[in-house]
Amino acid sequence: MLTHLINVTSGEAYINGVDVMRDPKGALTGVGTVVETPEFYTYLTPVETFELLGQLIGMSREAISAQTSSILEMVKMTEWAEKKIGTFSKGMRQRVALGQAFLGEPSVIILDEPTSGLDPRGMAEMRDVLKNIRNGKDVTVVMSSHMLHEVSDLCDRVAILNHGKLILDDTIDAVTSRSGTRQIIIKLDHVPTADDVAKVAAIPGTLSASRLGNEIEAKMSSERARSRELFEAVSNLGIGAYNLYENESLEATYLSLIKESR
Amino acid sequence: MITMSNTDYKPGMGKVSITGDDLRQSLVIAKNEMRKFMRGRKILLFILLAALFLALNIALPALYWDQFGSYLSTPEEIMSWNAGNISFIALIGAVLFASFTIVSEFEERTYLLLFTRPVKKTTIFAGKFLACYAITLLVVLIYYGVSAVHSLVLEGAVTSKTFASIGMAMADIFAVSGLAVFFSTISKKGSISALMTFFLVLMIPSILSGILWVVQPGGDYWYLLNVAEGSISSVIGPAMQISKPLITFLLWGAVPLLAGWLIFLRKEV
Repeated sequence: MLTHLINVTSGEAYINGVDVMRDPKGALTGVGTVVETPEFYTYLTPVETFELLGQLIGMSREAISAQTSSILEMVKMTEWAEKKIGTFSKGMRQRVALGQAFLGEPSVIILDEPTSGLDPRGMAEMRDVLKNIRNGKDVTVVMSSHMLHEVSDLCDRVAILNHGKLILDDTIDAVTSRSGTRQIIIKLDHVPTADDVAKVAAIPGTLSASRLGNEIEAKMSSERARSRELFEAVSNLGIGAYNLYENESLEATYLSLIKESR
Repeated sequence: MITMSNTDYKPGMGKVSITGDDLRQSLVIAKNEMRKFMRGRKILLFILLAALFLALNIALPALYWDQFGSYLSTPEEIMSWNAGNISFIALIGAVLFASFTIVSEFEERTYLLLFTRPVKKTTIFAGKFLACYAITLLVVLIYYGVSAVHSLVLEGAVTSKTFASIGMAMADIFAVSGLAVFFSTISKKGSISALMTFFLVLMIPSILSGILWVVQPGGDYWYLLNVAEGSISSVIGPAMQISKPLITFLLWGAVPLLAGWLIFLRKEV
């Protein structure tokens, strides 16, 4: 709907204050989009594709040429700049798709399931590029995804929709701490003993600790400072800890919200 | 910034005004479409078929001059003889290019790239039609050029009525391309659109005229496309009939083109 591929039955959507339904061209001016995995004109190279799309949005030849090289470098496609897109893998095409969204220095970039349909390598490459796309740029990136770990990894604000209704819109930090607790997983170089678990449980701020298979799960309040204290304390416990990470809590929040809204 | 609200919305056609930027974008789309045609194999097939028709037109009278000689004794007769193939060449052009132009965007999923840019659908539609029209016209003009050389070699002159025939051919290309673009808009597959264009454009007017001539022999069925197409060669002859075939071509092209445009505006993915 935001990219005007389908008409809305009710409601309104505005991009930079312009109504998408009433003035799609105006609304999409200054907007870059990647919808799923778009197919390209296979007879064109990435450079020719950027030239076509740049001309469409009214860029000068000089601007297209200058931006093309820097964008292709950003999406790691410089080496294939003059090769026909028809010969590219899906992952490579998706990186070109992401690149073209940056043409004309848009103020908004819409990414619809940008890693959908990619193989694990393609997904990793794409995520790698996505992590750095806002570096030093004044741009709003709106990404839709069903992969919650990807959302946690890449986004700083999340909106959850259920059957077309907005049920949550907040920062990632606020969403993941909705339950009031954080779950930290501690990996040890041996099977955790009762003594190891007790040592973790004794760290100030820890609400509880328990053995979870070959790991220890520590629960603590959602304040960031508490997590930091735990991270510092664990390294000094002498329990053979070699890895700590926060358990995926966006998924838990999502599932509970979906359950509540039924 | 993106904002959404939930009030009732009545879908409409949005803005249909045309600006200078829209025309510029149409030309960009037409240019890209032409590049697609030029880099594909269809253009080779198209040129080969047109060349084959022309070669037969030139070779057969030369082989059977005793039978043909009396019919091809003036520049008018030579051009008229060669122009007899133009309507079929226009149809082949429409089948190869115009019948695929819209449907291929959906079939090959390139619409996700093009339709999400700040470009009006009308602009895309116009650019694509323009390219299909131009590529067919280009081959037809080459055909006329070689025919003119044929006339120069045999009779030492080219009739000025050739320009009237070219005008009729341009109108015919508009008609068959308009029909093909319409089928391309309503079809889900390019192959279906191509088949519909070929058989419906070739057969429906022929069947209709066949029936009408049986029902009322000698009637003036100028509004049928195949009847109007006869004027592309007959306009070179002594009895020039321009207005009726011209109206026929324009109507057969404009009505489906308008319908196709309206359907395309409302078409969702």
